[in-house]
Amino acid sequence: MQHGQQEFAGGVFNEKLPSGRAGASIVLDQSGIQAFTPDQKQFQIPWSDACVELGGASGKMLFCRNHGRSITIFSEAPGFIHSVRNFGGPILGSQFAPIERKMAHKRMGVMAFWSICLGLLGLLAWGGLKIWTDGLDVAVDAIPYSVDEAIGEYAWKSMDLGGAEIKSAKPREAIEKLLKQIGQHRKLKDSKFEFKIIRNPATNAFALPGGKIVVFSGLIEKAQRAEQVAGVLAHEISHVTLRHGVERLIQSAGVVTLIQLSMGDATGLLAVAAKLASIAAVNQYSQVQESAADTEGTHMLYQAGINPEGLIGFFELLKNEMDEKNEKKPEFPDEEKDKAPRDQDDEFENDESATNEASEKEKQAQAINTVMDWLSTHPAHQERIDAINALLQTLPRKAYSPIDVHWAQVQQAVKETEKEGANP
Amino acid sequence: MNVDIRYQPAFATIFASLLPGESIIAEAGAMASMSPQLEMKARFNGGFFTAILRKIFGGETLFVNEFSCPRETNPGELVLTQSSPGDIAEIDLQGNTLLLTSGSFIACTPGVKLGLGFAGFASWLGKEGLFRLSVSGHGKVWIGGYGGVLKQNIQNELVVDTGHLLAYEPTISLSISLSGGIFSSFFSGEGFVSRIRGQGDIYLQSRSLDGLTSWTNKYL
Repeated sequence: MQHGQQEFAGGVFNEKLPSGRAGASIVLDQSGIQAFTPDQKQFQIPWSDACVELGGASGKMLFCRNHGRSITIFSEAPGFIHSVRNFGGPILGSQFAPIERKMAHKRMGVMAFWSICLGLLGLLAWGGLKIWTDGLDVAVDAIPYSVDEAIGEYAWKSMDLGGAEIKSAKPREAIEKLLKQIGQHRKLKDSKFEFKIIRNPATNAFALPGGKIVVFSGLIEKAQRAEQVAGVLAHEISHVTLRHGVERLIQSAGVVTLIQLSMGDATGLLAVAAKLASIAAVNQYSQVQESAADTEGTHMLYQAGINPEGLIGFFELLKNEMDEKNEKKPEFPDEEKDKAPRDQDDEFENDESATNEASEKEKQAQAINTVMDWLSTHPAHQERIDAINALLQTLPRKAYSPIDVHWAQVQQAVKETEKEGANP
Repeated sequence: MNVDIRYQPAFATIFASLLPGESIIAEAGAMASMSPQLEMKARFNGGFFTAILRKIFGGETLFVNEFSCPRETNPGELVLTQSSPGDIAEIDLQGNTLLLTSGSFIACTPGVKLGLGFAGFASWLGKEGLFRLSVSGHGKVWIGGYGGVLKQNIQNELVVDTGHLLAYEPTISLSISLSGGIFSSFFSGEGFVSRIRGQGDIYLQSRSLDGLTSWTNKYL
């Protein structure tokens, strides 16, 4: 190729060629357009004899023909049209006007096509999200509540609840009374509740699918009034009635597994589901589920005539404890995590200090993990307090009756069981 | 490689004799029989994403099969067919490109590159698919059609009923239009037609599967 020439890959049509056509190397210069076939045949059209036309399957192929139409040289290589216009433009003149119009239309068509594609993609993403969110509700509704009960029952029997059961009458009566009063306003009327008070310093409670609730003695001892415990219980009942355990199982085990579970005997699957349920119950409810349980719990307390500010008070208690803990000891004690299951609300308190054997690095890593784990599943206490306050603003003002439980006596009864060191 | 197409035109079948070291790429499900020494490997039809697009928009299978004759064995025979009764055409690519409508590809030699391109709404309305396969490079391509397969050279323009086009060269442009006026188009039974413009070769099938389904529907 000489100076002032440009070369492109393309083809040529001519009767002299064996099949009437051939691939060719196309060279453009000031004189015209030339095509060189692989078998050394050469075709030339001077610009003065050339007609140009856009076409081909892609609509982007430029055909250059002589006026007798005996030679057609074509290419759709990038830059070919631009070069033909540069070299032949002054002579071809107005022939490029319809080509440019066609190309502009094509560009608009391409833009419209991609806009539609992007729109459809957005619609698809929105639809996918909708299916994911609403589809989960549909899937949960398709699974009978008896599955929740079966999973909860299995987990109840097989999991480590975190300590010995306290069977003292006073605290049991108090919790039973609270559950009864709040439970009357539960969403899922088929649900039944069973609870155990477990000796454990964690300021904690958790619920398994099917209505099995565990209340730790630490919660009873640290709550300043019965309304705070009622708030926690309302929150836990909400996890059960909103079927958050099954929701989490669907997300982790898949709806097909759970449908299989509801179809008949599947002991192995039940064991897996129960294990997953227990893990979900103690530490893996999502932020959305926690917020939903707060909202539903607040509604239940309101309907039951129990001041929902008890739940706020409870979160404030946790917040203060956490602040104090952060001021006093930056490291995160870990042995408690082994002793007691971590709570889904982080309603726990670890009074024990970290073991001296643990290296500083390990402690730091564990602390980071604990915080990250907590952050991933739990909205901040202040956020939850704000959300409940905002919800209460939307509800009509109401006079709440104090809970008819002498809370100090309940706490005393729990303390006495600790002194005894065994179940009374 | 020696390839023989037998039982033409109604039930054309490809009989390929593969020498050691030779291979052939065929549409999934096209194999009727093969010698035991031949090896078959399924792979995505031109990469994962292209294969997905080809499956969704090209009407082709997600996988293609590569049949090869191991070097240390004797030559083997591979028999390939298409799902519809009809003829098969062999096309020799010499560095040029051919565009195939959906479902017409049967097999090719390894030197042929399979691609996918947007065919335009005219092609889609003409029942030739929204996307088209492109075959380019050097080697042989076998395409199949329902009924006879006809090669035609276009110098200017040809009107083809929708569903008859099998393959065309990139120098050809397609547009869709009514076969006549509104009344004629509606009552003639022709409806839309493809207007093929440009210079180059096209491959047509003599029968249309739409025609067959319409005909059989009357008896169902």
